Amino acid sequence: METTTRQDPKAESTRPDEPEFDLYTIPSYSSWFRWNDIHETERAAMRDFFDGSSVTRSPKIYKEYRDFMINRYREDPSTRLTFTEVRKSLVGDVSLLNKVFQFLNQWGLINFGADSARFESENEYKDEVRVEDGPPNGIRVVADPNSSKPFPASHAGAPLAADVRGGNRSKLSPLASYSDVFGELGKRKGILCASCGGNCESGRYQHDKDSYVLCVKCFKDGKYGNKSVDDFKLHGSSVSDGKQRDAWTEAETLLLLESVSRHGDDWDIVAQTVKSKTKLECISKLIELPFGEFISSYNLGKDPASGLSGNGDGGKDVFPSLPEQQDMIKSENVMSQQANGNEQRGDDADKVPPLKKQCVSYSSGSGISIMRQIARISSMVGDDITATAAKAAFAALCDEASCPSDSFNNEEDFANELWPAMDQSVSERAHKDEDIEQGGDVQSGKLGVNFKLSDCCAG
Amino acid sequence: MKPLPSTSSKTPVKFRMPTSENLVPIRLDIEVDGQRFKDAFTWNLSDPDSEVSVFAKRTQKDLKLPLAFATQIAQSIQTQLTEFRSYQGQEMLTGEKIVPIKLDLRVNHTLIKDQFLWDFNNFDSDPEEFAKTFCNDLGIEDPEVGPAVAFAIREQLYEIAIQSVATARESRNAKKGRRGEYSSISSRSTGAALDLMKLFSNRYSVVRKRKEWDVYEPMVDILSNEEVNALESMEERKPR
Repeated sequence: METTTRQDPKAESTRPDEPEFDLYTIPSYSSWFRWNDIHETERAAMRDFFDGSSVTRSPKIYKEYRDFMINRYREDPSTRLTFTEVRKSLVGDVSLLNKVFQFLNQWGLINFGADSARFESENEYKDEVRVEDGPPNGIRVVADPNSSKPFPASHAGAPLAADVRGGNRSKLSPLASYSDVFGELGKRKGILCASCGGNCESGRYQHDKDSYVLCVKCFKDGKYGNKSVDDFKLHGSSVSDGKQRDAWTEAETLLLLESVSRHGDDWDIVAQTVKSKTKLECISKLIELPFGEFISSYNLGKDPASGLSGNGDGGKDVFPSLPEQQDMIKSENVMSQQANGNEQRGDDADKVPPLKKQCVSYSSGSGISIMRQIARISSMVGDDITATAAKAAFAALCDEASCPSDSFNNEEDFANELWPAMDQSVSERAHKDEDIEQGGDVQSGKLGVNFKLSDCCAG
Repeated sequence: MKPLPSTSSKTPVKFRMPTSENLVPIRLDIEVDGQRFKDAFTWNLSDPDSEVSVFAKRTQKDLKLPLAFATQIAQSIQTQLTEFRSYQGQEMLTGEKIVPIKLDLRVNHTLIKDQFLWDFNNFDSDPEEFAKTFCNDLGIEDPEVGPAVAFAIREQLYEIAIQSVATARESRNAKKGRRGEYSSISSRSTGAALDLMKLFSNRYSVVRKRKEWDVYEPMVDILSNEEVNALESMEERKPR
């Protein structure tokens, strides 16, 4: 490291028995240091001393602490100065002293050239995980000497107590909680191929119905035992094998993206276009893609960065991609607050506006109330915002495994029940030509998506 | 690091551990059927109390103690947490308050004697970190020493916090009665706290006299097996 060598004027003045020039090495990044001044860096790091909060913490006292520590170290620069060593000589709160010490240490004003071998090796040692075989020695179970009862010799506590007295570090059987903590780890290590007995770490085929496991090699060799090939599923392979059924090739991904942008969320058609993948696989792949949001936004021809970029064409662009979903949920919260208008300040108080209540029940998974909420909000805000809100709602609903498909069975009831406000708003606009198409589109689009999603969940 | 709460102001602070983490020191000394179980640890007050019985059961199982210990352990912890909570909501005296902390403990074979000053009203202080530095600096290898040192500090801080609540109450009452009495009462009952300024101004320096260094120097002794045995049998004979 580049260092600058500085003259130590204080050494000269305070310790006249030493040579006139004392050369000490400090790191170049600490060249701001002056004996007779307190630098900005120190002021910023040691605010306690400079905010005038206490008479016992003044710049003067800081300087005394600092100078003492540095001088103390320089008495023997080759030896590391420890905090415990220095604190015995200084009057003051140890936490505060430690702060000063750590600051000087960090900037290399002390201990820069010191032999740190012991401390480095200790630090390395600290990173190691030590497995204790039993309870710590400090916790002991011993027979009460006042008790007349004989100590149960068969009890596990007895040998422990005896051994501690003898000074041996006794080895108890592992703690009972060991298996709780490490049980999973142990199990995973133990997954062995049922055919060759080898380790299946690089990937394995597991039988659908039981835990019959084959390693990749045995599977390819056709050693299925008495099971059917189709019942095996591949698990956790770290090796990328392009031919694996689950892995997506670049071409397949491109096909998926292309067909998604063409056919929207009509997953049956999308899956047909991709050919080699099922409907579900297509959906989950698109969810995984980090740029799902961009595709959908691209599809809309709008700015992808805007969370509220949806337009009336709501039906075709509900892609439940994860980042998008979060964005949308956020934007929906914003919207519900917008809708609440002036009331939103009262949200934190006990007076909860009705919309907020619905917002809460929506998060607990009630599909009905979210639909109602959207319907109500959608009557108040623009169509494009409505579409965006719908996206978020369906994304959230679809994300929950408990998507109640049966609640969407009756189309008419569903529409009547959920969209009263929407219907109203649509009918209000019905006589305006430009609005009819857009508003109607929003509604039908949303419903259409809904049924498709419930299909997915049911299948 | 967080800025310190302004320590000079006399704004009241609600009771808590005067450390960055509100960890409550818990001491267990339980005897069932001639078996005695001793332990000391800290409990995070923000943990749900339902964890207490889980912890107790787990401890009992891990140490292969008789079943009866589980309820006893849970009860003991719960009682101590309840006691701590009984102070919560009450006000402590504030303002800079430097208290001496004394360590005199034995952990397995390690004997520790030390004393230092602690700013009671620095709510950013960290006994665990201090203990870690302590063990590192003194080359103490027994991993149980650090937690024990931190625990000892916490126990003393807890004790002072309880006193502080009582003092705050007293001084409020005194203020209601006669204003003049306030200062005398607070100085009497906070006798444990040191006036740091006085310590400074005696010598106009924050540096201790050389001969005092030994007083504030930590002492660490590694005991032999015989010494440990002797100490332990003495401790066990002590009436509870």
